[in-house]
Amino acid sequence: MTLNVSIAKINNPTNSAKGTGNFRGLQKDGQGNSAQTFCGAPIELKNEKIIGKINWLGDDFTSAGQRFVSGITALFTQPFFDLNNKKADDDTRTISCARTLGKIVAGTTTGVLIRWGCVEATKKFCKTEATEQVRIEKLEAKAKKSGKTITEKAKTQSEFSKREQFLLPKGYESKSFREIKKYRGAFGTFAAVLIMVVTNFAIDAPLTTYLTNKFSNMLGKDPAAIEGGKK
Amino acid sequence: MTPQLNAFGSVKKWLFEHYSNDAGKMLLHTGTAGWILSAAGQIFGIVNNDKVSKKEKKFLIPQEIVDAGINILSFYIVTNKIQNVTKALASKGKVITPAIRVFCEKHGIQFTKGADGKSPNIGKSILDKVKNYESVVKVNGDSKLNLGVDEKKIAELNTEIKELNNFYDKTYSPFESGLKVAGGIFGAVLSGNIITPLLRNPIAAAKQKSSLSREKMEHDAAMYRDGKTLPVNKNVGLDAYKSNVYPSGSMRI
Repeated sequence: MTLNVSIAKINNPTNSAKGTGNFRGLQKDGQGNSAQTFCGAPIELKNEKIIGKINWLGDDFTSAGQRFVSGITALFTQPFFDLNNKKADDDTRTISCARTLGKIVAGTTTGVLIRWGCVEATKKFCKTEATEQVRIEKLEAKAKKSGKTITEKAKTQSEFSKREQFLLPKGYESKSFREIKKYRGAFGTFAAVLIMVVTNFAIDAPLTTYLTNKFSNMLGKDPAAIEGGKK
Repeated sequence: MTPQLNAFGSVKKWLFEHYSNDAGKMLLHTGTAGWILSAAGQIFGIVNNDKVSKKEKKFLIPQEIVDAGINILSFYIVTNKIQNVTKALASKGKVITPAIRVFCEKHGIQFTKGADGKSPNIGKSILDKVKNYESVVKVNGDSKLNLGVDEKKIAELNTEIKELNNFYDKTYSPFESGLKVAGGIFGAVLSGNIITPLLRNPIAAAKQKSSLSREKMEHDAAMYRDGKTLPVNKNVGLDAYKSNVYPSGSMRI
C-alpha cells in the first residue's frame, strides 16, 4: 500500500495547505501553485437560482424529461427541414412533413408517458429507510405549509416487505437516497424501453398513421390520393 | 433461488453499479437503447407488412437501416462528446460555484491549471484525498504498522473524511452531474433535430431519385422487349438507344 500523504504534514499542518489570493488571473491554489488560468479566469456562477437548476438537472432530471425536451424541440425544427427539402417534389415534401409531425406527437406522447409511468412504478418497489425518510420530510413540509398535521400512520417508518424492495438489488438497502433515486430512474427507463418494443407497434404506428393523415389534410394534401397517383 | 431470479438480481446490481452515480451516462445509454429498439421495430414492421411488395421491401429495408444508423450514431457520438465537454467544465474548474471554490481553497484542492500545465480534476482530487486519509487511519489502526499519528489527529482526519464525502455528495457531484446532463440534453437536441434531418433528407431524396429512375428504366425496357411504341426505332442497337433516348452522359445501362 502506498501512502501519498505526508505524515509530517498531517502532524504539522502549515499554511501552505490553505489556498490564498483571489482567482482572477494569477493565483495560488491549495497546492501552492501559482498559475495563469487557462483561457482567463474560471467562470464563477453566483446566481443561486442557476446553481439550483444545474443541481436539479444532476439529481432530479429523468429520461421522461429528456424525451419531452427532445420532442418539443423536434416540433419546432424537423417539419421545417422537410418542408424546405429542395431535393423532393411538392407532394413528397408535404407528406414527409405531415409524417414527421405525426411521428413526433405520437412518439413524444407515448415515450414520455411510458417512461414517467415506469419510473413512478419503480418507486413503489424500491423502498428503503432513506427513501421513506425523504418521503416523510416532504409530507411534513407540505403539512406545515397547509397548516395540517400528518397522521401517525404516515409518520411511522414502516418495515419493508419483500415486495416493497423487490426491484432493489440485495445488499444495497443502506445506500444513500441520491443513489437509490438515480437507480430508480435507470431501472424505470430500461423497463420503459423494453415495453416500448411492444407499444411501437401497438400504439405508435397506428397513432402515427392517424395523425399523419390528419396533418396532411390540414396541410391541404390527401395522402391516399397522392399514394394512389404514385402507384 | 432459480436461475431466472439470479440473472435478474445480476441485472439489478449491474444497473446500480453503473448508473446510480452518473445520470448523464444513464440518459445517454437509455436514449441510445431507445433509438436501437425503435429502429429494430420499424424494420421488423416493414419485413412483416403484407401490404408492401418484396420489391419495395428490398428498397425500404436498407433505407430504414441507413436511417437508423444515422440516427443512432449521430445521437451517441454527438451527445457523448458534448456531455464530456460540459462535465470537464466542472471537473477542470472552468465553471465553479462560490461554495466549491471556498471548499477547494480551504482543503487544498487544486481547481486551476498548475504551473506545470497540469489540469485539475476536482472530483478525482477529492476522492483521492478521501482514499489517502482513509488508508492512513486504517494503517495507523494496525498494531504492527502503527504510524505514530496521535488520536487527536486521527479524529481530525476522520472529520476531514466526513467533510470531504459530504461535500462531494451534496455539493460537487450534483453540480458536475447537472452540467453533464445539460450537455447531454443539448447534444440530443442537436443530433436528433438538426444533424440527423440534415443528413437524412439528402440521402433519402437521392435514394428516391435513384429508385424512380430505375423504375422508369425497367418500364422502358419492358416496353422495348414487348415491341411497344417507343420514341426510338426498336431495331436500333443498344448504344444508339442510349444516345437517342437518354442523351445525358451520366446515364448507365
